[in-house]
Amino acid sequence: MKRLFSLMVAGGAALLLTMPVLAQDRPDLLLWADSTRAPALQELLAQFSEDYGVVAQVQEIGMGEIRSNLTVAGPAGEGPDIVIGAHDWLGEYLQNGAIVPIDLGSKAADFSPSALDLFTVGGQLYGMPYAVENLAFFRNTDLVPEAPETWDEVFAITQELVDSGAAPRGWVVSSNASYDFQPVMSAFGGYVFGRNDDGSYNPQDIGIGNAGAVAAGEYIDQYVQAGYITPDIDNDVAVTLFGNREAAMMMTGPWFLNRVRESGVPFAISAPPAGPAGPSMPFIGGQGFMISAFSQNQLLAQAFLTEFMATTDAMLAMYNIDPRPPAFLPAVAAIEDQDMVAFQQAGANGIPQPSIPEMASVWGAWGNALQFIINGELTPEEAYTQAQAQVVELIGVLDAAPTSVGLVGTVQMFFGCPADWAPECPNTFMVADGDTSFSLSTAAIPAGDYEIKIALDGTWDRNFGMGGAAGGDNIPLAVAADGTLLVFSFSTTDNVLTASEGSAALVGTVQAALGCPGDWQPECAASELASNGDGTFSLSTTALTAGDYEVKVALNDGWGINYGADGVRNGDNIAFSVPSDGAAVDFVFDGTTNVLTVNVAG
Amino acid sequence: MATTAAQAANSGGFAAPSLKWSTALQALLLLLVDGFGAFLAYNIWQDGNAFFAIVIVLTLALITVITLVPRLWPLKWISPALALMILLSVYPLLYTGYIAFTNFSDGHRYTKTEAVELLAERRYLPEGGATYAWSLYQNAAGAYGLWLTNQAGESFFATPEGMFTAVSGEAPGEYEGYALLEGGARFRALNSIEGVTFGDAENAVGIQSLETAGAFEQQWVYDAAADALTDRATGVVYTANNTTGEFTAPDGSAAPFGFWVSVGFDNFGRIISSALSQGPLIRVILWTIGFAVIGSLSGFALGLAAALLLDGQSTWLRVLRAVMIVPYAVPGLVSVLVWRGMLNANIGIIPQTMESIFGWAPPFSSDPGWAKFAILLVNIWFSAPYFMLIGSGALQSISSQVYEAAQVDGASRWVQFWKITLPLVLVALGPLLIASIIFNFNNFFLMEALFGGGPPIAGTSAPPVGHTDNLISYTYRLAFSAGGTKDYGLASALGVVIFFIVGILTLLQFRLTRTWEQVSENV
Amino acid sequence: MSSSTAVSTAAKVAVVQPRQAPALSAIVLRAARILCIVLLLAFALFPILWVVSASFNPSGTMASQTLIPQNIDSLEELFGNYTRLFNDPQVPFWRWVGNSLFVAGGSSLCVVLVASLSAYAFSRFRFKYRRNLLLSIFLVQVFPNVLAMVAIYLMVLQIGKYVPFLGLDSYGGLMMIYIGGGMALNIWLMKGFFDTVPRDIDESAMVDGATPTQIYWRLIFPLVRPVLAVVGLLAFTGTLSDFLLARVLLTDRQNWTLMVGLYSFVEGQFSDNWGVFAAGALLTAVPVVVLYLFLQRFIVSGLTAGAVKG
Repeated sequence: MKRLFSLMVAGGAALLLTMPVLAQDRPDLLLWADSTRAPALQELLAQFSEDYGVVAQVQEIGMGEIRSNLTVAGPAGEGPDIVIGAHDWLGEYLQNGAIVPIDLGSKAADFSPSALDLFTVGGQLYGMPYAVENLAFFRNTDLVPEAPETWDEVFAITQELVDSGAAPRGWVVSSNASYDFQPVMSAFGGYVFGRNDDGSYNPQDIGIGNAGAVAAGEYIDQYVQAGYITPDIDNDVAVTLFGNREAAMMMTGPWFLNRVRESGVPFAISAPPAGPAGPSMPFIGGQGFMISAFSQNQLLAQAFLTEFMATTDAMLAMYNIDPRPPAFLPAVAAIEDQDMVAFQQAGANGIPQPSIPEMASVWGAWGNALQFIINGELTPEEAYTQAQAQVVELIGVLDAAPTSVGLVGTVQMFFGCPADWAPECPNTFMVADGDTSFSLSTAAIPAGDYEIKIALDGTWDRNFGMGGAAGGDNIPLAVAADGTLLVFSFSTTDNVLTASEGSAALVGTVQAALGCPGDWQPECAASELASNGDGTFSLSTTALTAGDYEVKVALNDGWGINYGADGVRNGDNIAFSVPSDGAAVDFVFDGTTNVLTVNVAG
Repeated sequence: MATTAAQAANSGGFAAPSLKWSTALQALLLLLVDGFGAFLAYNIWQDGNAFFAIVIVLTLALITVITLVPRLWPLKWISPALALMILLSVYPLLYTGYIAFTNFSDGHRYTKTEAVELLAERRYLPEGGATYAWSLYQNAAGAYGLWLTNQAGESFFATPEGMFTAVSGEAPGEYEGYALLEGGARFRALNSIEGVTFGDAENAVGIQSLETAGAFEQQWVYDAAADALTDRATGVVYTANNTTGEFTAPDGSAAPFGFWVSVGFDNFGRIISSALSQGPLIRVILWTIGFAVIGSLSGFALGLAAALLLDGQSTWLRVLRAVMIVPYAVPGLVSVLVWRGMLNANIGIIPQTMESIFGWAPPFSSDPGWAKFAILLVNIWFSAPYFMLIGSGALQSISSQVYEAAQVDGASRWVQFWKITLPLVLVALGPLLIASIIFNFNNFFLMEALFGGGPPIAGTSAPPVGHTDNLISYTYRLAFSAGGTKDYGLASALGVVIFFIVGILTLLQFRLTRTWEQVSENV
Repeated sequence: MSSSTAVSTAAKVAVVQPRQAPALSAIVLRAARILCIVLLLAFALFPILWVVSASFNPSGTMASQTLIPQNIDSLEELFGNYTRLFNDPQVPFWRWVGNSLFVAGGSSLCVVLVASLSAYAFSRFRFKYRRNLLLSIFLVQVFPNVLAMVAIYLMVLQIGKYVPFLGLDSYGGLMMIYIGGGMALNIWLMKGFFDTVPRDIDESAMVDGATPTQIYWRLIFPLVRPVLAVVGLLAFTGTLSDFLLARVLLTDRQNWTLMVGLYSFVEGQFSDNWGVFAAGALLTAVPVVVLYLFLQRFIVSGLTAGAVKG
């Protein structure tokens, strides 16, 4: 037994020594492409290898796998140098740092700027585009000779065609593809994500449930009510109906152009019609080359792209295998296909299909909404309100109007809360004083050291601490003296909570008399209340003439926090009368109850 | 336990074989397998995947122990299957179970080391850093040199050995023994000069792209002692937070991506809290179980009926049986697409035919009830040939003598079926029926391919759920669509939860049907 | 318990059943049976008919397909999809078929061999924790492996770095996964059948001094041919129609299996090669049906014939 074991160990060791490390010989440059494009690249790479003496190969991988396996194969050292994919993969790739910027150098001028935009994030270009694509409006020219200008016209034409029996259906739309709904929705004023000043998408601003989106839903609902649009239509079915002359109008992209041509239907391509909110804005998508961050051959990869691929011949080879409008301008010039030109024109008002990762949360809910309308299950308003709510929940939108913004911490008892660290206590809920800012004031906190945080919605689910970090550390708060007027403010843009000593000033029709340039001016220093050191603030005057006055208290020289009658934030003005000129009037503001008391002598 | 005595008797009865040849052969095989496995495990360990290496070593140890310990001889028969199952079923299972306790997701895809290494490769141009256009040179010894021209038009020649000399004029064809590389020669050299620093200490130049070289520097520097990353472009220090798997700056912002860390039971907590807040989850569970049970039983019933109908030796029946196999032989992807087309309300042959005959057709894809019905129908179509195939084999194992005896007793065919055929077939196929129920419990393919989980359920919170979504397709929606990140940790945790549900159901089924006991006592 | 004893004793002797004279009820029964068979076949074959029609249909998508191909002017057009499969230089069809048969044949043979060894052990030997082990392998298979693809891909990737013949783009790795993937189910299926083989057969052989190996190969193996054939056929079919795994692991067009190649025709969301895909899929079914016809005699005649000899 022992002998056998030692024999085995020896044998194993011998095998280990004799077995050479059989590393697969890796090409100098490895590409991943799907089966549509790989054949074209195979030929191009053979050419490249021959011209430059560099061994370049393409592996055929499914689209989904290219997207997901780059981050698996890459760290293991087995990934590609270049992947070919759609621009909307950028979000996921960048989240994982899986691709690197590309410097097109002087070649950049040869690309259509809008195509480069698609692959640009934060000012950096992350892909070399070779094609762009968008939906265009198709019509059967026998049935619809003129391109409709507006969506209302489309409905009128549909009505006429169906009622006259000229065609069983007018315009058809895929019943679950939200991508196809975007042109309509945008023409009525709906949008998926709002845009920042630099043109990038803001995932916190979602417009799937706004009035425009609902109006677009109601537009579709007209067709549903009249029976012009039925459930269970997908892209394939829509093109088939169009090809069989069962439908007169539809929208589709360059990918189905060949099918439409083969059907023999006389057709024309135009821009999607406009709506009450302006032109339709179809999504523009891009296809391009991206360089893996795990690649050891990034320089060669860049050189391959800028020197070899960014040429008219190579770009036309890509076009021929996958006919979509090229992004490379010299190649565009070399293409005679008028339909491709029409597609590009139809995309003139288009907007980039969002490539931020949050878009993944949108498709399902958004598409379902359309399906609910077409199935007749929900009204457009119900459908899109629900979709909006779902997307908001999925993305975790912060200004999804938190139901409450609560100050929590060791100070809560001073606000009359039953306990500290109680996010559900309404006494410490902050009040909005702007679109994204919330505030709260008190003078009730005695001197000492405290800790505070912010909790939204009355729960701990969304809470913010130091530096606005979600779930971050507690924020220390030192109160120097009793009766300090503290102003807590919180901004939902950066989730930062600050606490500072505040000032209180009298505002109202008394200000001019107190030496201010005018009335109702919170920034005026002359009407500032002086601290009494016990949490109350006061001002006495004899400068008022007889008459009726109205006042409030404003904190920190602005309207952000102001208190009216009974200490109500943003409450009614406090009215009082001065019986005679020069009567002594005392104003006392209690920083704990926020009540302003006016004592008029006599 | 009654079997204990039998066990002893049996192992006594079967003496371990002591043929010398077979022993030698076994030793040799074991040697080969162990040597091979050790080589593999060692290298994979070196690669940093300790987890997989350990699994390999444990598998090897198991095989070795089974082979070398005489008392374990019955396991020798099982060891090839066991080894394969450990690698291909148990390892993915452990992997999933392990990931369930981490925050492995987009943005947290790498280990800390991998994340730091990946960030360390990023370069930036410090303020005032020089950039140059470059031309590549190589001398006879194979050393490289760069001819650099900056924006002001000044030229330099730099080598990796520290040379940085001012030169003048356009890049020449040759410079001090260095020849200009162009075209293919330049391309072939690119992999060698990637990441190489040219020039002297004050003028360190790296190549950034085909047109630009410059004083680029490493942007992200990791300080192991402080466990922090510094972004040298901004000077901001990002401290590693080892509970959330992120590098965070004092202002709360985070480095471009984080790393994965263990998060304990967090994923399970999220499942429980979201399960409690989700109304449709109950519906999803009911449909999952309903589909699994009804789908499997109906497929089994029709398959068995087909096997009985086509049972016999005539050529006709043989051919018909072969024809019945065709639905099973045609790849499932094709058939499911065909069914989808046939059921489509606008172009499908089934709704269109019904429309023309009855003036009404079921809305298969837009009505919840009809959608479920359609799925069950397609599932029967898929599974019946499978059950027919194994059922006809099982029918053959029932001797005709049993039937004869029954006929002598005057039992009708109906009685024969219930008293003889079904119980006997169930003995052989019972576990498979249970396996089928389990498989259908996790049947993602059919749900996704036929209606994509639809029609959607109205009035739910996120994520959107459809009437024909089952637990697995719901899992995918929950874990891979929320917040735009693919959350593998959450998906794995859901997998583990489903496993417990299914595992308990399986054990219950074995108890209830008593198949388990029957089968084991049968022997 | 009683039923199984019946099998054991009954299986020992095979008796030819005498034919009965047909009575009226028998004729009715027969007619009903034929009617049922017709209905069954109609249900089973209607979608297949659709696939057949698609394979002769020049239209590129499922939606535009009609049951009777339209606009066919010539034989060439009728067989257009098939010609494309056979003649397109981008489609090394016969190579794919060869690859598929190699992978499916090899892995189903291995499955039968490995699983039957285990099933025999579970059925015949008594050892500690036998039941637990049997149940465990069942439960392992029950685990919904949401990450299996990632785990397996990573595993093959890493093994392949050192052992190329088990790595990516190799059949070794793919076959290993096919063999191991369905192991538990196959063991269960086989064990169920092994249990119906009477134990007295091997007990008497044991008394004669035969080793388990001898008993297995000489006595049991011939007796369980039906289930071996069934399992082999199931494994063969499953392997042949898989594309999910093969597509991830095989990256060179020349190395693809038939299903991976065919899938590339419909992979794109907007591809219009439905007819070619259908034609290829039908051809995929041919080896399975042929294999079944060949294996039927084992499936149908196995147990009793063997039992007489035993």
